[in-house]
Amino acid sequence: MVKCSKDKRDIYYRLAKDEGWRARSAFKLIQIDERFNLFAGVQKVVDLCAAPGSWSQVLAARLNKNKEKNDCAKIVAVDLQAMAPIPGVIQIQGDITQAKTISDIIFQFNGERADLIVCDGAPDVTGIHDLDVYSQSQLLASALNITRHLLKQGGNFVAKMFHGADTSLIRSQFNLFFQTVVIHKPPSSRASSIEAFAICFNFKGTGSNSESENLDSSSLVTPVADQQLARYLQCGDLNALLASSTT
Amino acid sequence: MAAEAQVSEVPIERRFFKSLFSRCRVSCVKFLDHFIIAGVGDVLHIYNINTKKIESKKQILQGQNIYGITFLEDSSEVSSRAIIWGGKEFSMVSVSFNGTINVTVIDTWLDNIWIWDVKWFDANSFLTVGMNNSVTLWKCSSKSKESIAYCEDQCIVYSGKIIGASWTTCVILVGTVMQNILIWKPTDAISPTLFTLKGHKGAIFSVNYCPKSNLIVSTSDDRTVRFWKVNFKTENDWTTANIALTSTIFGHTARVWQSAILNDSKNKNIISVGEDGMLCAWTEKGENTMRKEAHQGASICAVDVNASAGLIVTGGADGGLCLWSVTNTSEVETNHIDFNFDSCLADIHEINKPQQSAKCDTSESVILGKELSKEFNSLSPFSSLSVCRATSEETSASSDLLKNFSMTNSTNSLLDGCAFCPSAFRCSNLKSLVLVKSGNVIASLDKGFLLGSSLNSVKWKLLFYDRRFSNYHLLSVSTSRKFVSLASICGTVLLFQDNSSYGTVKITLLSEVQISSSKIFSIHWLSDEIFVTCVAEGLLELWHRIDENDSTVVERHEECVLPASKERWLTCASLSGLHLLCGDRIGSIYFYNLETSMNVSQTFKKIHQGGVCDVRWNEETGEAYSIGRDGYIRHWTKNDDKLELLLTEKLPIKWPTRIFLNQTLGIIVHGFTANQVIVWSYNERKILLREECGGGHRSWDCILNEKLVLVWIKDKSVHVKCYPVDNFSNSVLLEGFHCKEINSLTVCKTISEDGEHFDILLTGSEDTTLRISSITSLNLDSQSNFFDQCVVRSHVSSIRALASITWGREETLNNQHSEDSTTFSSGNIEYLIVSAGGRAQIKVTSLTMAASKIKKMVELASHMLRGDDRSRRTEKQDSGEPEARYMAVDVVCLSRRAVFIFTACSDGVIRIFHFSDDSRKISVVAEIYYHEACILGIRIKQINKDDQKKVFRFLMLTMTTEGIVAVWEIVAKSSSMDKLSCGYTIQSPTTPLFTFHAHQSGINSHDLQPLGDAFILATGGDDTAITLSYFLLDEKCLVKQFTFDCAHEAQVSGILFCRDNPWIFTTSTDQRIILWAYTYGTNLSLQYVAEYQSVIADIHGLSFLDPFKYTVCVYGCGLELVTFEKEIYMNSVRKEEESLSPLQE
Ligand SMILES: C[S@@+](CC[C@H](N)C(=O)[O-])C[C@H]1O[C@@H](n2cnc3c(N)ncnc32)[C@H](O)[C@@H]1O
Repeated sequence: MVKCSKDKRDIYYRLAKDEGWRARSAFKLIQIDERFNLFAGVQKVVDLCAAPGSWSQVLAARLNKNKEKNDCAKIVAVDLQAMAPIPGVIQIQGDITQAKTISDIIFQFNGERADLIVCDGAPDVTGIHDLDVYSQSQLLASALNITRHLLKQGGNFVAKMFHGADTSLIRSQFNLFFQTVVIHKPPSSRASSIEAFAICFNFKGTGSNSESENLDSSSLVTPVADQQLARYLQCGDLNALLASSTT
Repeated sequence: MAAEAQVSEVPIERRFFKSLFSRCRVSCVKFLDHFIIAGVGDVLHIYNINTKKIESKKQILQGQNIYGITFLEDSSEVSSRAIIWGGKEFSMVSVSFNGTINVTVIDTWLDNIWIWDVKWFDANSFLTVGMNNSVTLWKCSSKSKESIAYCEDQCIVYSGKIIGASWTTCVILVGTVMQNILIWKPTDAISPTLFTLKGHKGAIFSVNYCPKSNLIVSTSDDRTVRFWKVNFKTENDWTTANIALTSTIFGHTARVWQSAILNDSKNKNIISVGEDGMLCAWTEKGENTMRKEAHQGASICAVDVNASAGLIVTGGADGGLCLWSVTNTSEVETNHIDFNFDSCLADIHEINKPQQSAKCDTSESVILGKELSKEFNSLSPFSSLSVCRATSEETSASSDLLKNFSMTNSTNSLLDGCAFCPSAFRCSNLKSLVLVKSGNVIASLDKGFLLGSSLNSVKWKLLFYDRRFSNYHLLSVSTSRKFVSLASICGTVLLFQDNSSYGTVKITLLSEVQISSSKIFSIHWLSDEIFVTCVAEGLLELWHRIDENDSTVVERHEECVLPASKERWLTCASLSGLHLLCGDRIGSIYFYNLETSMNVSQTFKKIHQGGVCDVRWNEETGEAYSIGRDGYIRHWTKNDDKLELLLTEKLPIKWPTRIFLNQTLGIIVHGFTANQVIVWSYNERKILLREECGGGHRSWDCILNEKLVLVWIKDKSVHVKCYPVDNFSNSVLLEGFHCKEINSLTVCKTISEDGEHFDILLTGSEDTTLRISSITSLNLDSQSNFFDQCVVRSHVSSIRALASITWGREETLNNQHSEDSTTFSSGNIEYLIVSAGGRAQIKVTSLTMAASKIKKMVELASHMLRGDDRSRRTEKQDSGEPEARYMAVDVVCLSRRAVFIFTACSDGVIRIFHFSDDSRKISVVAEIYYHEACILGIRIKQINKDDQKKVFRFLMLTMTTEGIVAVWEIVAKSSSMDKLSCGYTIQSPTTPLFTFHAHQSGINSHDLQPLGDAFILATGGDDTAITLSYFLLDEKCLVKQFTFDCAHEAQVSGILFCRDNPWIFTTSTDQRIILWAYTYGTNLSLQYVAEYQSVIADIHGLSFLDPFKYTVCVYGCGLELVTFEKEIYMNSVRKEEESLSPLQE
């Protein structure tokens, strides 16, 4: 459950209010799209861990910009918590780590596959650092699992991750399923938070590596020298107003 | 389906590092016999309950926090086995106790799932429950998984508990994020859920079960503790049981982490601990029996109970470990004494009967008879005071008299103005309340009456009346509360002795003194013998009570004069020998040495803005404390007959009123906030008691000895609360540390007389405090090597940056700011500390160390960019801009009067401040508007100086969130003309010499290595990269640069150059410390050497303790001291080389 920004003077908090987003995290998805152009040609999308719904709002606004009613993109939003309805968004309330939720989502797609899957999920942050990082990686494992069942070949996946002791493992897991993986921290993500986003391009398709159900089944320590490294990319000079003076 | 489990081993690179010491959250606590076992990070601490001392320490799960310990139940008396687990790792250890306790690791495993609970089934097998809602049965002998079962509800669980001791009988309780408790048995590979308990409105962080009372206790994100009763149809058959929610307790103000169940013949309690730092106890019905603030308000992470001993142990996020006793609230006595004077009127009837007065002590009545004659116009109608003969005659027909008492001013009448009529009583107002030694309370009424009541009765008794004391009087009581004085507007003081026995109130008038012809402005008892009065013209007189034969006389011994002021009298006073310390209404503190002079020897004008409330000497230490309406406590010391301020600290009390020095509890402050009375411990920095009382403007009193007694008036009655002091004491096994992240750290070195070196760590934290700790021995095994010396709580917001310089003797000053000067003489060393942080606040503090002890610590100056809160409130300017924060600070000292402070600010402005020891003021001398992003780092380095012309040249580096480094030149010139900077002016440029890009995003850490004319700047960024930048100052350009991408898993938050080797240490929020080798010849390069995994989460930085021994300290959520074992590394490198080239010989 993401705690709402305490700092009311926060620039994104104000912007979100002005622009009508439910949460400041909307800007993270907007900035990721600006940088990587993820929404181009997307018809079907899953928003995992969507509440209170600002990512779904962004998706609905961007994907259905110039479209007729009957030509709308299919947006399925899933969360533990109930959220207020958003026009054009199908909602499922459930735990994404639970098998039942996964089949509910698959049911919604009726045999078809998604072009894009996004996951901004965060577990109950306990403040116990290693537990938080671990449960985030578990949530990520579930998201990846859903992705493997639902994403079309060549599709993209965006997932929030926490920087921690075994980040490299998660990266290498993503690398198994996607052609390119980039770790990115959009400017609107607080510098003080340990979150970053894994942007995974070009899904290799199902079939390969189905045995690695569990994300962290390998040992913790990978020598730094020969890791399979994901490139870190910072978006350069985005908006002037973002100038990280809010750090 | 047995499977080989992974056996974890210390990876090769880690063997070159050794952990010396760590301070971090206590993640696990457990009672074992008369020991307490605690997991502090990856180190197991063992304490002896009886001695409260640590017995031993051992690093168990390398780099992994310990979250649980399970002992094998059928262990013998001298040895036991246990599983110690944390995260996905667990170790099997043998614990032996023959006199001392010894822990040996037998085996360590690594599972692939986070473990919530471990339970031994027998000496060879145990069960674990994992986060994926599965259980695994392990065999010790083969180190393998015997069986695995999953619950049919496959989801992430946030807590788990195993009940039962075999695969077939065990029951698993888990708490999900979907707010349910699931109960299941591992019957099949995928086992059905037996129960789903619904009720919680958030994730469930713990489930606990008590087989004796068949009670399930769950704690949750929804801030509740819930009790569920299991009703078995057949004993322990869960499949047919019926489970019902019996209590939902909203007792915490934040998430509830853990519970523990006490259940034996003596104690039945359920203990809960939470994020709000509260330790609570509940009955099975959900009634609260205890509420205690612990661990400085930080999260309480772990709790365990020992029912038979009635003990609770808690471990906090502040790194503290405390032992508590399960106290019984029935020991707290409560009473209300109504302010009903009718009972007094009845007393008058009784006591005024002739035979009653005949009973009175004749000698007293003679004395009193004379003194209470007509000339004094006083009347003291009863018991102890007796009634003077004249009076008793006239009052014999008391009932008539009462009727005839009038409020008229017929001067001739003895009873003129006497308020003995019921209506006069009723319109009397209570003025003061005092508690006396016997445990009774005495109240004075504004019409000149004294009433008394015992604390457990509900009846007032009229003790004394004298109309000279109507309207104005001062009631005060001696330090041990045996003597009471009453002072009047016309200079009279009456001295009484408390002669009550339990249950009956009795006071005796000892003597009457005319100390002045005019109003007594204040009177304060300094002991049981001496009191100080203040009369007109600020004349202070010390009066001594002397017992002579059967009578008591009062003599004036010392006198002195209070300096002139608007309100020239005392609000408080304390005496130690002939040193008088006192305070007044305008907030000034006065110090007198009565031996030498009757004039004030030191005045601290308006130091407690709004008034000094209390001062107190600690005779043993020669130190003193003062509190005031400014909400601060100040700690003073006496040095060569001079009073010096040691420390200033903000109180969590709006209106502090009294200081106590208590045997058990130490220094205690009593006071009020809004309508609550608060009792706060200075030693522990925690609120011991908070009680609704209506506020401090009403009459109240409070004593603290073996009991804490509070009395206050509310709703026309006197409320009494009496607590045994033991209720407030807990035993601290391990002192708490910072309760939030440490943002910055600086190390000061000291040397004792006999040449021993000490490291003093100064840590500034998000929790707004600065802590000073000394390290005496760098050895993990040694018993106590880390001493928390003091906590400074004067910053209004987080402390983000610290810098320190020595400033001892003037001649050595000039080169002190360079960290290379490590030669110190022994004896006292004075450091100047600059701390800066949130709300754009900077403070300059002087710290004098004598070896490992603080000699003196004084805040010299404080500065806020937008002014302090007081001036801000009046301005009420709200620009909407977030207030700037200082992100980093560096300092240069040219002389004691020319200290320059350079700050990196979140608004992108570089600000340079001047501080002088003379004026003790911090003022802005330059603001450089160049960067357009938040500046994360700043560094000043002296490059040369011209002693003749007194010109200093400095290199300044600034680093931003955009990954840019700017290189500046700063010149400081002597100009005696410039008054402000006392001889030096800073010429601040508007543009840098040059800039370069080092990272894709924020530069989190840096270190500078000078190489003749050139410099290498090492930087660590948010982009996880390390960059080396080689530049020449004279050529004003970057010559070469090298970036190692993805050097860490997360942002690089610390970087350090070694002194005598081309090595660099780096650290990151990924919790690794990595050692690199660099070259800078033709090309810059960086090569990985070795790494260490720290237990410290959210690492903010890295500092050297001893650069020549490769000892570093990482800090973040706690701190860890780690040393790189160069010898071992070198040997292993040599061996490797030998084995690679065996033919070389
Ligand atoms: C950061 S919020 C998402 C914000 C959202 N993207 C938006 O822009 O409004 C994280 C969400 O993850 C959800 N979450 C956490 N664990 C989950 C789980 N196991 N299954 C489904 N949702 C989960 C939480 O309920 C929470 O609403």
